[in-house]
Amino acid sequence: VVIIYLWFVFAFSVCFVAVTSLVLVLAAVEVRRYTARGQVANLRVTLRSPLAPSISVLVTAYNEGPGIIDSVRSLLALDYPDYEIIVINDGSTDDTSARLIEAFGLRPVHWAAQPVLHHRPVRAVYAPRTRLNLLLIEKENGGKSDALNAGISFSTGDLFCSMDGDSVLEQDALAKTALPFIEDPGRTIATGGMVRIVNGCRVQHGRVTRVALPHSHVAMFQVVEYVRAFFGTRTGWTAMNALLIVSGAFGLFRREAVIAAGGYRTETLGEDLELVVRLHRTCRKAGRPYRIVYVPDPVCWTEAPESLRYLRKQRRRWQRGCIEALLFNKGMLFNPRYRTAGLLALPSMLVFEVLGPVIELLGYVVSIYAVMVGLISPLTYVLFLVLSVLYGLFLTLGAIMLEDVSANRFPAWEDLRRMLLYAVGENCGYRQLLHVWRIEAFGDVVRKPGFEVMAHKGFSAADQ
Amino acid sequence: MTAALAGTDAALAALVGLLALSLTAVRVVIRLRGRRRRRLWPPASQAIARYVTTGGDPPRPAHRAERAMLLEVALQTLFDLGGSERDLLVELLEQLGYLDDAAAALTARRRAVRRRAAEMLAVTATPAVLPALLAGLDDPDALVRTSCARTLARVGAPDVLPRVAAAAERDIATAPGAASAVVLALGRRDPAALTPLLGADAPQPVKMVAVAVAGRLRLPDLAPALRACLHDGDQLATIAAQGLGLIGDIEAVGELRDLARDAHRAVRARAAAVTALGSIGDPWSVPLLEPLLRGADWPLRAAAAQALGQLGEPGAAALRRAVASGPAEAREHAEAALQW
Repeated sequence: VVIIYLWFVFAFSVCFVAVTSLVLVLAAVEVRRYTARGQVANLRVTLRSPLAPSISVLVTAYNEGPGIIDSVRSLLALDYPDYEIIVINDGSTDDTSARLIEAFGLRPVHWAAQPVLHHRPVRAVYAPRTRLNLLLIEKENGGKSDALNAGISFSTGDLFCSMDGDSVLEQDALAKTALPFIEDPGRTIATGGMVRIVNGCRVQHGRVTRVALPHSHVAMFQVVEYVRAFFGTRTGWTAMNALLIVSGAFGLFRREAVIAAGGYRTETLGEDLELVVRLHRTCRKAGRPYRIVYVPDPVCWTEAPESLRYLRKQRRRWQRGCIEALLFNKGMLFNPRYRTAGLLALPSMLVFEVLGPVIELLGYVVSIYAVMVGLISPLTYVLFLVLSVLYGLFLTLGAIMLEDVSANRFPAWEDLRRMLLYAVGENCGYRQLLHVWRIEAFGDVVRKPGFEVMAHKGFSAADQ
Repeated sequence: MTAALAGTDAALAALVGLLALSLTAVRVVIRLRGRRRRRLWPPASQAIARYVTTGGDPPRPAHRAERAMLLEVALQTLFDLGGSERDLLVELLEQLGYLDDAAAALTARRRAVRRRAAEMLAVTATPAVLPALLAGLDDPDALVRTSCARTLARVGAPDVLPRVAAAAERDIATAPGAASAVVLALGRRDPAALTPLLGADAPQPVKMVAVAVAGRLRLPDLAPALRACLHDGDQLATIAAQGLGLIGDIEAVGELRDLARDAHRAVRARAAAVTALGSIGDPWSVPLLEPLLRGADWPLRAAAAQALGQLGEPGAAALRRAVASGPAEAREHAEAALQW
């Protein structure tokens, strides 16, 4: 049994290497295509075109008091010809609404929202006395999905941008993310941009004015993870039109496509992932040609947890969302009707993301036992571990290279050294810890506990 | 097994080493480029600013890097310039041979080179390279073709415009965004050039873009063509109604009223017609809009309330009546409209 399991782990590793290498190569092709397209000219044309689609920026906020004003200020300064901002206060118990009302001179207004999606009751709607395109919706607490559904009902744009109240968009992020909608309006239904970690950066008046890596070890590990996930993975899946996630922190969606798909599902914590998977399903079922695109350059900055306690909660939440998205859309798995999404992307998610932690952790135990009873030599075991570390390093280096070519946000040699150090270091405990938390999420899927939200420091305090 | 693993480890270590070296090389190149840029950008932008404001001596780049930087600065500057300063800068690019280089690059074998050249010519938009742009309309790549077409729409002779319109029609399926930009450029240049794209036999996708452009650019000359589109499919009728509202075409009122009350048409098209009636400011539409405000469809109710709010005292009176005695849904919309 031990030997069979070890061969199974070996086969699993070979599959992992094959899929991730393919995705990395395709990511390189996609990044090259993106950088060769003359982005600046396209962007300037977009910003002046009366045909640019209108966008409703939906900011969900739950107890985001300390950072909400800076967030909204940074959104009001975005470069885009036609957009409105809708802040949805999802039953905060702090002074989120009061701060907004005071800072932007908002007053209560009558507003008849289009009943396109179900959501918890709205208590009040506020709008400014001036011509600012800002709306504050105060509703009963129902979670992020519910808040987004309310935002969609109140929105008037052709597209909507979902983002968190604790995130900051770069000035041209909206225009860059909207480009695929302008270039291919008939097919593009969703686009996502790069989410970067703001910890360690200097933020002034809602703008990142100095980019730097975080000092915290926990946040540093996440920087490496984000670079690998966004540049090494999402770009590659885009090339196959099989991108399964547009990050909830920053994504742009065609409103009518999301309404047709039924909006955000409120019974899951991974609403962003589940929506995108469902968009694949509904578009394929309807025979509608579609594209879901990850754009490597536009940046949204977000605060990452710096303590293991909050990181654990976050990762359990993400993993639970991942499992639930698979359960809700299990009919797509290995189904040729859904092309690459059903035949490769979803199975990869099932095998590597959901079952992977179990297989890997069990692999450690079984292989140590095999060494102890002499079924395999210690040297073989060490060589296998070295192989996995080297391959992880290979993926990280590839992703950093793509990041350098397309954005180069961390140009200092010291930054590169630190990222590589953490890429090696994550194999010594961090990754295994994440796996343990991800396995815990199986229990959460059954028990469905609520999750405590990370207390945000606000961006004024992000520069440390 | 151990030997095989050791071999794989060694091979992967070599690959990682190679990747690390490549990464270092990429970083060195990026740094050098950044340094060169920081060194060359200020003098290039100062020279261009001096030249376009005072009309003094034209800048003379000494070597290839300076030449490339001057072009980059000039192209970025062109986006924000207009009038004589823009003409002066384009003339400078022509004198220094950049435009000839770009025209020649339009026939290059590599698609990326041709795309860059076509985009550069689109930014400069000068009639100096018309033959190359005309030839570019037959390029095998859709983006090169549409870039050339966009430039020709701005600077080509009037007799070229039908070819430009044909190029937009051809590429609307393969490069819809770029083809839409061509239609937009045509509309800005000469509304009459959009007429063939608005005809009954024009393909639906390009017709929709042309209708949208006519509306967004508020081109009153094309209002009759937009009115004809109100009798077309619901999607086209919606865009046409929006356009007529933006134009403020008073002659469209009758057809817009017909569309608004036609229960067989899509709600979206009817709502667009109602919104247009409000934008045009036709107070005689109040008797039509008042029942729609009390109707069952949310988009129609919302549009009717908004339109009534734009129709002066008769509209406001209808809204007040809805607040006083209408059903709850109508009251909600009417209150919102009265407040705004």
